[in-house]
Amino acid sequence: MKVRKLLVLLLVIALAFAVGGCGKTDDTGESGSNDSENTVSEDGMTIGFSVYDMQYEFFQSMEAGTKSQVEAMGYNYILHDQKSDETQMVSGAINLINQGVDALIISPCKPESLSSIVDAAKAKNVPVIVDDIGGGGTDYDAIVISDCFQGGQQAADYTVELLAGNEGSKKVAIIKCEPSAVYAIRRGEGYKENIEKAGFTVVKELSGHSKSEEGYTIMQDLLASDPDLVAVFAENDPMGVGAANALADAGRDDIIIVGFNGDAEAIDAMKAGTMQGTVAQDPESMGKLTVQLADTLLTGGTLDYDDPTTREIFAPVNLIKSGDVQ
Amino acid sequence: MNKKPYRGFDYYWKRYGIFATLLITLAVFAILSPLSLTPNNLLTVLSRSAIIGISACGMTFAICSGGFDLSVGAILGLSTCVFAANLPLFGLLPATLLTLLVGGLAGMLNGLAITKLKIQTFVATLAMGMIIKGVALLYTHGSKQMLSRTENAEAKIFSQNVNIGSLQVQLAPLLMMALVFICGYLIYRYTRHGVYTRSIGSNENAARTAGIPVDRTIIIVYIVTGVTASISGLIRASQLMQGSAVLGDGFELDAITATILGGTSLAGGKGNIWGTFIGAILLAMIRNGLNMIGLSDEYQRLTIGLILLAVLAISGLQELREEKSA
Repeated sequence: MKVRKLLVLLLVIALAFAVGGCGKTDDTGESGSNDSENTVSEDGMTIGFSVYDMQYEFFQSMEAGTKSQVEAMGYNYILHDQKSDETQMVSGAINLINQGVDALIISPCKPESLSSIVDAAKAKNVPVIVDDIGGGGTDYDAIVISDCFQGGQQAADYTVELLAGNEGSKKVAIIKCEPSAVYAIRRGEGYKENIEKAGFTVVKELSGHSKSEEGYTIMQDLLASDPDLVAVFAENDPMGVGAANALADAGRDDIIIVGFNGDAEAIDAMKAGTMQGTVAQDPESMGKLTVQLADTLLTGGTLDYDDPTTREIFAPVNLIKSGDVQ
Repeated sequence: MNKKPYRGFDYYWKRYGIFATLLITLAVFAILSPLSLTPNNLLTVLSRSAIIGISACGMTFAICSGGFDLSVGAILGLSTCVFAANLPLFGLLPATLLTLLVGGLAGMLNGLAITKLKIQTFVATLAMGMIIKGVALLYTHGSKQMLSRTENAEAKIFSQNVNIGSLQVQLAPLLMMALVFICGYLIYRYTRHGVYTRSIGSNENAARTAGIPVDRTIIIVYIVTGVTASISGLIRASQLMQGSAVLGDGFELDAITATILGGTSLAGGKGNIWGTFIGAILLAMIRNGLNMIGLSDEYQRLTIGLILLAVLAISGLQELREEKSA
């Protein structure tokens, strides 16, 4: 009994430490917003940006773009880091609104929890621009997302270019993200449209659920069912890299693989020659674009949507070819 | 007159049901996609089932002891990280041993939480899974630990394709699976630990009264699940040449599914090591076959769910009849 009590005590202490650890990160989060409170100045207008998580390179670039554009346009700037935490996202963003920002830009870590934020903003007449991820079906003013469809088309055009003069079959396959990833699914649709225009047939469209290990097994299955495949498009880079590994393991180097995201692992695979391309999103210009949109709304202009029903505005993407990274 | 063939079915289903299901599945896929019967594809399915199978072998003991382990996915993820991070530093053997050690340690913590802190296995392993994934994310700073196919070529040892004539197979996973299952069977059938595990699963209090070292046995059971999950992790890290905390997401359910398909009862006390072996192959075969046919994600989920339900319903109804006749 004593031993058990001791163990329970130890666990409680361990837990206390663990919770203490979490508390600490909360503290820095709050001190971050406290610091920023000082930067709210009385003169001029202020744009607040609530970022998903500054740990990730993607969001660091997005923040850099947002900040530089805010400063270039002469607004004051407040940053809030959600640290991938739903609670921090909601409390932090509402805190920004209460501090009196004139426009809110947010890349939400949990789009489905956006509604209370958007409601609070609307109550104060603060426009909300969502940067990437998703709008959670709320009443935001605009959402900026990468032009996934066009990115898929670029991937297809590049594949066709690489296959010019190829005597092989005209069979290609697509490894898809999960059906709920609505934006990612457009990548495959764009690819399909252009690759079929060029006379190729998409023989298989399989879902790898965005996971690299499923990219690997699906590639193995594709090699078994369609050994004469000439190209594969993966809707994200982890699956593309998984597929590239399966190909390399099988000793095949005659199938072109293009991914999407511009992840470091895809660049590595391209350097190693196992992958041929990836379509990179451009978080920095996405950040800049959100500020321009906020500015348009603050100066009484109207937005020019790419898709008016969902209030989507597309940001351009860049195809990275294997020749670019050598 | 009527009763005897009825019993006959039960008798054969119990012994060979899972095997018959495997053959029927194979036959169905052979008709729908003849290429799935090629020797190379069958070998791919076999070697692929190793990742699930090896963990499921450990899981069989856990389920047989009346619990189960929801943390194997996280342990697999952490194992890939430990392996990929340490291989470039210390070489193949030390990295492998360290990985297995970490898996065993994680399992031991599971066992301690269950026996010494009296936390229910569901909650204990669920919480441990979260903690382990958190540790893996901290360990890798949330990014992926990449291995180079040229500089760290020795990592390929666990997934190297071997050519035998026109056959191509990843031999290492097959051998590892064979070894794990032979050891598992011998332990289950012929050792005191096997008897203890079954007794605890049937009736923990009775086992305790009978003087069986319940706590020690359970701790060993979870150490084994941890180590087997680590072995699966080694193979996955070797295939994908990377370590990442997310590589085991959802994996625990595969391991549990294979075990239950194999005839091990969730009620505890009754395990079936070879059934688990076939269950793992069946699961890998179903996924492979559905991909070969090219079924979309929605229908794949539907089909797998229905097959599971059908197999388990036959076993469930049979148990019901046994209870009635008893």
